[in-house]
Amino acid sequence: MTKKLHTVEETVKLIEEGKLLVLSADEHLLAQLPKGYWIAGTIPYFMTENGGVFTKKMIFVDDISAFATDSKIVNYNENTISNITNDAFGNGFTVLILPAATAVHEEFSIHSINYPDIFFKPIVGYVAGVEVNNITFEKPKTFSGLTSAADNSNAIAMHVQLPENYRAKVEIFNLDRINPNSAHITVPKTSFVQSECVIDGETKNLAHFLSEINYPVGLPLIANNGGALINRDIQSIDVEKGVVTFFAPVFEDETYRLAMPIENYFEEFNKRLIIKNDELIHYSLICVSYYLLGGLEGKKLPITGAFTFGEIGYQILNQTIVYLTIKEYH
Amino acid sequence: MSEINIPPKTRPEWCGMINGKINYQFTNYVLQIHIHKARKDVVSQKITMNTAVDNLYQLCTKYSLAVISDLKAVFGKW
Repeated sequence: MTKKLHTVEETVKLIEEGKLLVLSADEHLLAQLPKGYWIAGTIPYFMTENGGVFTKKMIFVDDISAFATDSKIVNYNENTISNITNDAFGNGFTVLILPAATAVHEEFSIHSINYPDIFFKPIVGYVAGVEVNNITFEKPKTFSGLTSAADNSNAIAMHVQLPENYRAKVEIFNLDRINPNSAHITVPKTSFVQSECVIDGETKNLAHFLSEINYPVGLPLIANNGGALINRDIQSIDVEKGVVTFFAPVFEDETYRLAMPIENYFEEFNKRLIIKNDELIHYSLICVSYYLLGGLEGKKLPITGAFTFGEIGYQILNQTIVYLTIKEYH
Repeated sequence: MSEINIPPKTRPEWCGMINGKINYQFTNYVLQIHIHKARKDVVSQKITMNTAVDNLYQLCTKYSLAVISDLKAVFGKW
């Protein structure tokens, strides 16, 4: 299956062949594509077989046609995204792309884990973004191959059906680890923006606390969900206003811890990111934070994919690698 | 397709995983987050223990091949 950068012409050929494609690229490239069975999001950073790269000249193509017996492309807004699990096939998977900082992104971030049958309907995907230097003036977009039109407010999903004897499985890899000496942090209300919180039983201001301990830039807060380490990436800390803004909601019913500092991201990935030989990765993506913090330009990881502005593995994840495998059940 | 045989739902270990008496962490991501949520939902009375066990059993049935080593660690033999 294809998981690599292609030119527009090469991508058009794949579209004309009727492949089911998830595409990631700069908007001006995606806007050149004909209609077909594809969905896309704007992204300019990629981990390729040759290493990390920033490009607005190529399209990262994930061909997810293998094993598919049926598919459908559906777009969602903030009022309809909760239908995503009902729309998904009984046995299969869904790839979902959300434009960053939109109502549908917020709705999914807060509520997806409560959608009907969410754990029975594997959903992977990402939050679309743009070149980080252009974030203040360029809008992330999604594209539906049905219309080949750009959309800066709606999410786009491709639901894929698998044969009954196949199963899609979602796994994550989090390079960050909980600092065992960390305080325990809870918040009064689920939100992307937090101020007062409870830290080891005492009410404190989160921004002031993180500032006082000189919490390193780039380190997330982490919740342990049954062994799955779920990050919450910090977007900004405003000490004057006493406000911390996150890239995903911090939940009121979770306990968060601080992360261990990482000295060398690339070395840590090489030590700890192990993809088992029998895990055939059908689709994968990596948080753009790893590209930026880890200086991954030109460096290879054992997994390829778009560097994304939020990852999806049934829920919004931050600073995580998400991958989907498909296995035959005899 | 024949699915792998998983422990019967009547085994007490299913409840134990939900109520935390068995604090085993699945190696499989979806089971990790599912059990975490199920525990919270039972405590907050969003769902009953019976429903939580039903849901967990169904999920393990669907992913029986992926979770079999986890189930052996929790249940031993069945």
